[in-house]
Amino acid sequence: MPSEVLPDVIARARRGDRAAFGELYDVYLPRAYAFCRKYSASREEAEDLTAETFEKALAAIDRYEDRGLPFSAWLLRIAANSIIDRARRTQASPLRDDDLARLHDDSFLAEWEEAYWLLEHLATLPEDHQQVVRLRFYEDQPFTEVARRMGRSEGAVKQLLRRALRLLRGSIGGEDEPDHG
Amino acid sequence: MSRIMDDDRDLDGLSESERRLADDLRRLAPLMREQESVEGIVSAGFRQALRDHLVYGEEVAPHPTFARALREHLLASRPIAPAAPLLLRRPVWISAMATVIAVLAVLLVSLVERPARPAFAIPRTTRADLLFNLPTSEILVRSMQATVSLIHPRPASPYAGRLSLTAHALPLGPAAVAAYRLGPPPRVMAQVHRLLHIHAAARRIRIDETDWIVAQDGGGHSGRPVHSLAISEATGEVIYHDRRNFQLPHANHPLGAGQAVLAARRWLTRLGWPGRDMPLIGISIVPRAPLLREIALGWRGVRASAIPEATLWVAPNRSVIEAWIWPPVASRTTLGAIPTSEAWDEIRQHAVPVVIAAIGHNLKVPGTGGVAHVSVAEILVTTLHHGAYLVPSYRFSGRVLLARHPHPATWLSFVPSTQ
Repeated sequence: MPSEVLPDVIARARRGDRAAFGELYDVYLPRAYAFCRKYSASREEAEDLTAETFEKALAAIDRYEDRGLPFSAWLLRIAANSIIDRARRTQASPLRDDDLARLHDDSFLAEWEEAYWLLEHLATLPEDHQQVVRLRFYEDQPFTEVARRMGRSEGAVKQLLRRALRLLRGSIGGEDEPDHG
Repeated sequence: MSRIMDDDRDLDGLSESERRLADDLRRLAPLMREQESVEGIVSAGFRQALRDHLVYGEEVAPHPTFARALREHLLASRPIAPAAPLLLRRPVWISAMATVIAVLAVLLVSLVERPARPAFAIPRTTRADLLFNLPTSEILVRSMQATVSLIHPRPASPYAGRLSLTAHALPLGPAAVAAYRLGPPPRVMAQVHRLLHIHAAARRIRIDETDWIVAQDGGGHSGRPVHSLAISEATGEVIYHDRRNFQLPHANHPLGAGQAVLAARRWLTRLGWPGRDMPLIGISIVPRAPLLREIALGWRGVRASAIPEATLWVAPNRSVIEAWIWPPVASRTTLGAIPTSEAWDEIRQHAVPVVIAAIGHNLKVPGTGGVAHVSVAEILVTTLHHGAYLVPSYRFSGRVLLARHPHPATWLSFVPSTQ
């Protein structure tokens, strides 16, 4: 199951509990790293940016306030600022204009976070359930094509997609928000 | 978009929330595709090093940014072989990972389903072994001996009163467990002068049928502080005392936790242990010595052990003034395990000792309590002629209420878990 943290972990981390910060690190490292990797030329650069992001987060966590902004979005904002700063500083891997605009845009960060969260849940589904979701939504294929590529009837594919959506909904859990932080 | 939306009308039977989820998937699909195309797997080494750095303030390795800057600086004047394009590298990387995962999976399945014939025989665990692994009460040592560790001067004392303990719904326990044989005594003594600046010649002494090799400066009538190293020839146990830095007149704070861990790791590495890779399992202040940090490090690859591989006291000037160390693991084997209920019977029938934390040695009042936690931990078992072993055991613990005591106390017991 995708990991999420309870609010009390964030509260403990804010009070200087390093073990609690370790729990946050364990949960959010993959998505922070993936975000940094997207805007890095190499794995080494992504690791540097990820380390910088968590160091800044550790230094500032006592000032983090939950004003409806999930912890993960706060963390991605730090990561985005680090990416922008590094691009300015080094000129080694300049950002494209559209990337720069995205990194300044908080709504983009929220969408990135939401997409990552959905992806984590999608990865928990059985393989054929994932495949039908990917063909239908990623590749934008009509049911006839999805059915042909999966070697099933159109009705069977529709039934599989219904089950996939139901399972995914169950995995996400009710009407939860994408992040508990 | 419209084609799919029209098509979706045929997908009847969805709830409102499922329909909203379908809309979200459609909206976020481009970003999800982007994320899946990112090479987003974090290397295990980086993950652990950064975690240690953040949580324990450890500088196990140079900060990644610094290391990278230094490397770039050092390599700047030399031709660097161009890296293979990502698209070429990825299949190689994926196939290597797939191979590793497949091998691990096969190993795991073979270990879980069929405990292989043990690679070595584990020794019988005695009552003395069990007591040795249970926590001791705080003990004041009045005279220092090279072969007695201040960290663990003597075994625990079993509770002498009658305890009535109960257990509800015990977990079944694992089908198989791992045991480990520790390596031979470390070859430190030959270099004791160079490594630790102990000038005395090493000599052999026998205590309770065990031969020790001891090198000691100071102590006795010399008037100089004790500085000694003792190694058990039977088990490889290492005991180090250095009283030269015990009283530091200008120190009024213990060393920072991260710096103390770093000092401990460096000291161990110098002596030949894998100090950098040993898992950190505890940082505390030494009881009655508020300026000393106690650092405990475990065996590499061993999940939990009752006794750490290395426990060191670090002074404010970064010097190690006390150490209690065991050899690294030399080999591992897998054995079938008994169920926890069978182990619990041993406790119920008083066949194994139980200790109660922070209770006077002479207390004998009856008590009642229950099991709160059961886990598997390796206990250290020593032999006279065949070295030392880590033997898998069930660790039972819980709370007990003693007669005439207002507050519950914690009880603890180990039961070997092998068949």
